Amino acid sequence: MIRNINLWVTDGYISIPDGNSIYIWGYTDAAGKRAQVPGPRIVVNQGDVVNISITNTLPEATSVVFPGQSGVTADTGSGPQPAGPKYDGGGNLVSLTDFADYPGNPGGNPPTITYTFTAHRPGTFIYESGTNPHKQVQMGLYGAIIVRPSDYDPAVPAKKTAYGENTHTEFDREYLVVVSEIDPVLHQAVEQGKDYKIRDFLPRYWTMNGRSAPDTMNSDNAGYMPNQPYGAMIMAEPDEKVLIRYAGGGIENHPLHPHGNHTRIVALDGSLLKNGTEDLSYKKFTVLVGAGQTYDQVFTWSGLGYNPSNPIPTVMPNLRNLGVGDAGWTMWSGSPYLGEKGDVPVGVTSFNQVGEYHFMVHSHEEMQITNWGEFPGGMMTMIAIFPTGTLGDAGTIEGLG
Amino acid sequence: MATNFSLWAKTGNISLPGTGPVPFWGFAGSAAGPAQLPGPHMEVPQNDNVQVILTNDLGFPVSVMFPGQEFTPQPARDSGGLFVSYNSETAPGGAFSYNLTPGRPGIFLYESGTSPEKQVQMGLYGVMVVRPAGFDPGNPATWTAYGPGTGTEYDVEKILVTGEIDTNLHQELAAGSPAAEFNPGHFIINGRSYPDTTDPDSGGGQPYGSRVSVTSGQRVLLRIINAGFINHNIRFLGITPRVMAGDSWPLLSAGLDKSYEKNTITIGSGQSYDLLFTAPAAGQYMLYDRNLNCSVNDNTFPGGMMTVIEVV
Repeated sequence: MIRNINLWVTDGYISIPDGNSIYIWGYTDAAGKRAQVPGPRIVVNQGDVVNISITNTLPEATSVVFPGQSGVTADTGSGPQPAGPKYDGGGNLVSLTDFADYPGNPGGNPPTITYTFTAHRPGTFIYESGTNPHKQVQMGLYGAIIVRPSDYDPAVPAKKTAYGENTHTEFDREYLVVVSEIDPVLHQAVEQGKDYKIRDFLPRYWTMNGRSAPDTMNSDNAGYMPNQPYGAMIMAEPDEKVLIRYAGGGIENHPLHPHGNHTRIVALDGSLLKNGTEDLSYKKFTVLVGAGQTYDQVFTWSGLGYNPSNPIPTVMPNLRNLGVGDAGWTMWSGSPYLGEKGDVPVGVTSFNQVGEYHFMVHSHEEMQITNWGEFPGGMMTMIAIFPTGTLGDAGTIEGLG
Repeated sequence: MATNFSLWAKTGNISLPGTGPVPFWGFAGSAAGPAQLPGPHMEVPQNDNVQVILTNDLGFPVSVMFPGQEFTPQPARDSGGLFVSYNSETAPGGAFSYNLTPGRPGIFLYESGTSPEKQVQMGLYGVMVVRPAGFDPGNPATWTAYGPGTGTEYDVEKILVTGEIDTNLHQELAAGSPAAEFNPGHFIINGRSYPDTTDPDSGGGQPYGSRVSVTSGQRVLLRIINAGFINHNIRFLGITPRVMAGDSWPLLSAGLDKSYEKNTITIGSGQSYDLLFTAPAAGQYMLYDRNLNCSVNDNTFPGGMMTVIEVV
């Protein structure tokens, strides 16, 4: 199939739970809309010819690189050419790849460009700016692409996979978490037209899908965050296979782990960990999500011997694992029995819905689970195990494409 | 068999984009030659007896050690019994012989073990390449990184040594004054920052270019080793290499293939990765640090840890 995807490159604001509002550059999927972070999810099938057109409204040139894809072409109006580094008349590199100029640049390139590639292989991939990337990626010009395997069929369990039948990557539900960092001073410098000094980079906010905790745990398309449409709460029922796709959108590496649980890494940067019949997937507690990289994992929660006739999901949780801090809220149900609620400490508000069991996923660089130094916040979310039969049968990621 | 190398530890100056001469300390390959960044590549056959004779032209003790190799450093202590060096020192004006027998092939750092927080940052590091048994530099049919059965046959080999430079720290250390806080603004491959990385090999103190010039279809072995203090994320555009070894342990051996493809490779301080790919269609393919604050010279993009794979 041919997939035609149109993106606009523009600016906007995102909301931080401490009340701050951060100026961003980002992608959006319609003319006139504000930018979002991360960019719109792109979901295509293996073998598709993917045309991604961008229209630039920023005050400087921009471009998109597609790490992990091969044979990318770029077309600025005179036909597709192999995409590659661009130099000025003096031989100085100006962009890692063909770019869309800023609107109205006298004698410049058009402000639109179309990139084309064939999605040769399934997996999780990043797209991001290749022009002044030290600035534009930090400002928010990054997003993720999911390529479904050619035999993907969500109606057939053996073919609802990340990498194809018999790759040991079947899943019931999938989640995508793109992590990054924000230095508000640099963002303000761009907003105010001041010098952008990357050497002074000092992030104060850490994000999952463009949100800092506790906003990470809010639903997709929460109304008060119009430019951060993707939630980062991972929800599943006992014994389901959960595909968690991590992507590093920022410029730092982040060690993520779920409390008390381990995931099985099945692919790196969209490359399946399997050679011939040899399954090279491996379990890991703390996954170091490297900048610009992706990690696909399959995870099944079965508790500590949990089954319907032995419904105690875990030992009594430690309060510090529950998000109970000065913030005065928790996701805990108050009961160790899945599907039941009990008492929570006096003065603490529980956001638990139906007695589901939450455990934290966070960056173990602990200063990153703050919002400008205030715990809890930052790069933290929860995995929520819902009682069997309460979650519904959704569970695949939709996107442009 | 025995192979002897002689190194001289010296002062020198390097040139980085947008800076004046930056003082550094490096290893030279001859008494009259300049200090180099990185030091001279040393190439030895596996199981050779290797002797490295270090002559110290600097005004303070230095040493050399060989992490990852079959080599036992001898920590040095001062007269009061306090630890001063990971390995036996070479006194100022003196010479010392370091001996090892590399038991396995691969790519290894050699670097100072004396005040390494200063001396390695200042440039006292280099690379030793250990060739597998049967390797004949004159016979391309024998060119492998790790010997037969390791899937590491190649046509073109390129060594990329990564690092960082804080020019203020270099100025202060060269002047002997207390060091500034480490805040590097320059990021290097083979001692150079982009665009200088793309220049050819040369004489002088930064002899190794990093442009990878290959023909479509050639098997390219990239050997990346991190001599710096920071972890880097080496990103390829348009190419996804296969990781064939980490820290010189081949991932394919005894019939078990644990090699894997990866587009962006996190390389920790002191680590190495051997990457293999088949050169794609003609064109320029960028290789850069996805730590995008290291793909700059000071505050300016492009620069730093970046080079070009040129396929013709």
